[in-house]
Amino acid sequence: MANDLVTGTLELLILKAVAWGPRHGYGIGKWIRDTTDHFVDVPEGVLYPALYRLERKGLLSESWGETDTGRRAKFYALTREGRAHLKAEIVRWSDFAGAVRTAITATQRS
Amino acid sequence: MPRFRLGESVPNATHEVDEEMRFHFDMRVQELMAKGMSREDAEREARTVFGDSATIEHELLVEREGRNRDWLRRLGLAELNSDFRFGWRAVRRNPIFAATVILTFALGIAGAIAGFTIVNGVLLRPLPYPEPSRLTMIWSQAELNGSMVTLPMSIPNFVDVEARARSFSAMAAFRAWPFTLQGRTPDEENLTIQGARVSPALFDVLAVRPFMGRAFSADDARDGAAPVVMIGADLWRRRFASSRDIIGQTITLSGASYTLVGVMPDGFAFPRGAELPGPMQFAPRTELWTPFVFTDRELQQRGTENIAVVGRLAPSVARETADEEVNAVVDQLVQQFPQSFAPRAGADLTAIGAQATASVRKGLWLLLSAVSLVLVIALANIANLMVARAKGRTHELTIRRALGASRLRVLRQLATENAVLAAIGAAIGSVIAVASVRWILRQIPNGLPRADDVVVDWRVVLVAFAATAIAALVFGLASASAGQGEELDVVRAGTRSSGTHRHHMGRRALVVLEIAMSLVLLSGAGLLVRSYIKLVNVPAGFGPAGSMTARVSLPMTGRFDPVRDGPGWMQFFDEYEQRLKSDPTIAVVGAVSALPLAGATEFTTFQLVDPPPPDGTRRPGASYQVVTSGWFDAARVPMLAGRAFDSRDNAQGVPAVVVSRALAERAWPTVPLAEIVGRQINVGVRSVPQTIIGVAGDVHQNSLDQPPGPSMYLVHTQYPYPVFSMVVRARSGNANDVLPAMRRELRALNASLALRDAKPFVNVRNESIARQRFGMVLTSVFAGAALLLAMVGLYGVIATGIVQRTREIGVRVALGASRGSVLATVFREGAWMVSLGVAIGAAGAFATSRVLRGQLFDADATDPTVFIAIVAITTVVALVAMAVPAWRATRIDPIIALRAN
Repeated sequence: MANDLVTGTLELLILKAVAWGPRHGYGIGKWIRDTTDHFVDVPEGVLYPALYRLERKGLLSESWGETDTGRRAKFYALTREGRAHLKAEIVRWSDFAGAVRTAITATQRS
Repeated sequence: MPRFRLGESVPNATHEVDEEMRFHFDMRVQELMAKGMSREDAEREARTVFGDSATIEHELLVEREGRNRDWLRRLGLAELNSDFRFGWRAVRRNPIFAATVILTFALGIAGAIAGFTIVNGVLLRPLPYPEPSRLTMIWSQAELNGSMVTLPMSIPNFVDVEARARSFSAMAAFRAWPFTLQGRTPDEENLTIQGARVSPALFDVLAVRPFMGRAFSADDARDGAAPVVMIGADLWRRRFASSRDIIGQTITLSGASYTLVGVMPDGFAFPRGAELPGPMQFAPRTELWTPFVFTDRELQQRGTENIAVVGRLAPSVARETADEEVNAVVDQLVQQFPQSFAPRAGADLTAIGAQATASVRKGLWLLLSAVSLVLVIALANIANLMVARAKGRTHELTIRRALGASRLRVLRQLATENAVLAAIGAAIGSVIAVASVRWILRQIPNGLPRADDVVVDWRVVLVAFAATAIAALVFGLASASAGQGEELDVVRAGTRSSGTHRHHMGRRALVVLEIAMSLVLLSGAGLLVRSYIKLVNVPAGFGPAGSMTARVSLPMTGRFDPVRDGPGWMQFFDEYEQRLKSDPTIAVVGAVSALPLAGATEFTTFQLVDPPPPDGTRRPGASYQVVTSGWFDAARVPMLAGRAFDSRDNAQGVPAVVVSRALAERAWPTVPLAEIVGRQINVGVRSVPQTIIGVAGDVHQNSLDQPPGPSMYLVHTQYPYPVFSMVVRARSGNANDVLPAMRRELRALNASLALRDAKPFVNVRNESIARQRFGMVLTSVFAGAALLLAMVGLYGVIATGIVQRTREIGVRVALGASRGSVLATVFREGAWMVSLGVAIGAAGAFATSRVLRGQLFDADATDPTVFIAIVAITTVVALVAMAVPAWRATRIDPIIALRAN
């Protein structure tokens, strides 16, 4: 369960990172790091396999393009299934996080 | 989605992954440089953070391939395939680790296969005769020089025992007998064939029938029967071109005609020399058999013990019962003929399998234990290496788990990697094993009983491979469990984990075990070395330097008949000696019937003439040699009193004998040696009393590790003999210089003769202790290997310990710890492992040393010098193994150490 949760969290963050447009792998990692205030630093060895797996599941699509500095890079974009999955996961995660928060801030044992 | 896109075909997958990773890396470097780092620092930092890019790329490729081959994935094959490739890549990526594991495996397995192959062939496989457990050798037993010895039987005793004992379904006598097989045409050369004279019943006893023709019948052994012969399959092929028509034809052996009646099947070579006591003079393999015809004279010589006897126990008769019965028969004979028996005469029954291997059984079990110890150490080491590497890969393994790879999946990947290493190791090990079995057998030619039965058994190899498979699985498990752990940590902060204490303890315990076991082996090797050094320094009683030896056997026509042929033999060897003496390259010439330490000795009895022993006293025994007058000079055997043989001691002279010091002191304990000269003794093999003309120094006749027994010398001009070993000393001091002259003069005398077993006299001495040297060398090699492996293990544990504690050490250095205190920390960690290992090992060595006792010559099995030396060596080597990582620990730069995480 714990593993599913962590894995699921990572996938959720990745999908969220490309929600506003395609990014390359490095950009996705940097976005997660910056937006979590360096609390979640996804190692490359975790990030890229996750990207590939999401692509395989059909939640991401990939294409080669150029960065603004003119370098060739692979970009990942959200597919239709990916967007639906992201929506559902955000709901699930929020419910879960809320439930956990309620539980751990409870003041009295029942 | 489009149906297909350019640039996505599988062959480009590697390329794409590569490019994507490089892009990522470059971006990271740029980011760090933007923060103010130099390009160099930024690249180093990026590389550190990036970790093992090969692993990531592998992961991605698996994912990519998996997408294209989901159906294979469902069968679980896709990963296996990629695991193998990944395993191979792991080998190439870390060649030193891989080489260490492979070599460790190879050494351990090679030793195990070789050791077990030899033990299996010599000790475990049944002898190639039906129901071998019912076969038993029957020897005489008697007290000789104060201790019980096992002796051959005499012909009359054999005849009586065979007639009276009921415990046997068949019993047979046999005796080694070389023959010259004459060529059937003038072009065909004469061959010396190792043969045996055997009772016709031998083939019933062994229950082996000829595959062609017939075996001997009882009639063939009657005096005056037409001479017949049987030959071995190999000789049949070699000499008679596998001809089926050979049965019934006549062949000429040592000048007499024999009818060939049978050919024995392949592999039948009884008696095989190494399976029987050395003094019986059996050749490694016997290839020709003639019926043992007892002459009237031989049937009278109850004191001449010169035949071997083998019997097959009757069904349901126990060996003990048979033993009692034969001893009872011998007791009756002792009552009947008290003069013909030595004190405490009896019989000794030995199972033929035990007889064959008695001399080496203990040595071989020791060899097997040594091999097993090395194998255990090797496996412990591999376990250690695997766990250490798994720790180094905790990061990678944790990521894989975090990514959802099941435990089973991770385990399988590790097991496959290990299987790749183990399989390579096992393959190399098998090759080494086959080569070393051959090498070992070559090192002791004819010295190892049943060497013919040693073949590399496919079952043995199979067991080795099964062990490999199990090892791969076990180590996979060990390293997987070591690699499990702090998954969340890693994902969250990318930290590298440090090992848990529990695993550390396991690895240290393994190292302690390794040190202890290598110490046990080392102490065994040390004792054998010390024993060997003592053996080498035993004075043999003769001086072999600068002399050449070679055997000359005169062809015998018909029976052994000294009365008829003796003058011819005497004349031949006299003339040969004269010719050699006149050669300018030769300094001294002599000859002896059986070289000392060459494994051949003949025994007879002797009796004082004055004072005559009281009636009924049994005669003491002594070995005897027939020599030429030059022998004592040529072999540098000193005369302590009286004189050596010379031209006076001819057929017309007074029958003369030279006795050894041991014999003189036993027979006349209180008489000075000089006064013994001139006294007379009766000698078993001579019918007239012999006058002692001299007392010679003691010579080790049987072996260097036994004190020389009483011995006497007869001269060939009075007691002719057809086979002599020449001892010829070169003027130049180089033994080989005399060989041309020896060959030339022999040819000049008789063109059909050849020198046999020509070798420097020094080699005779060395070969007599070849088995001890071999055991010592082999044990030392194993002990060295064990020590090396243990030290690799120690080094590994210390080194990985330091890597994992880099940060801690860095902090201490930053806080002002001196290099000395860092060193002390490292050595303290190693010191308790070494001292515990040494303590356990010393206790183990002490406990097992008694096993070695029988293998040692004049060395205490608990020799403190050896133990102290071994402990010192182990400690010093251990310090060296720790010094390298310790030195590295002192070089840890606190800045880098602290930044590393």
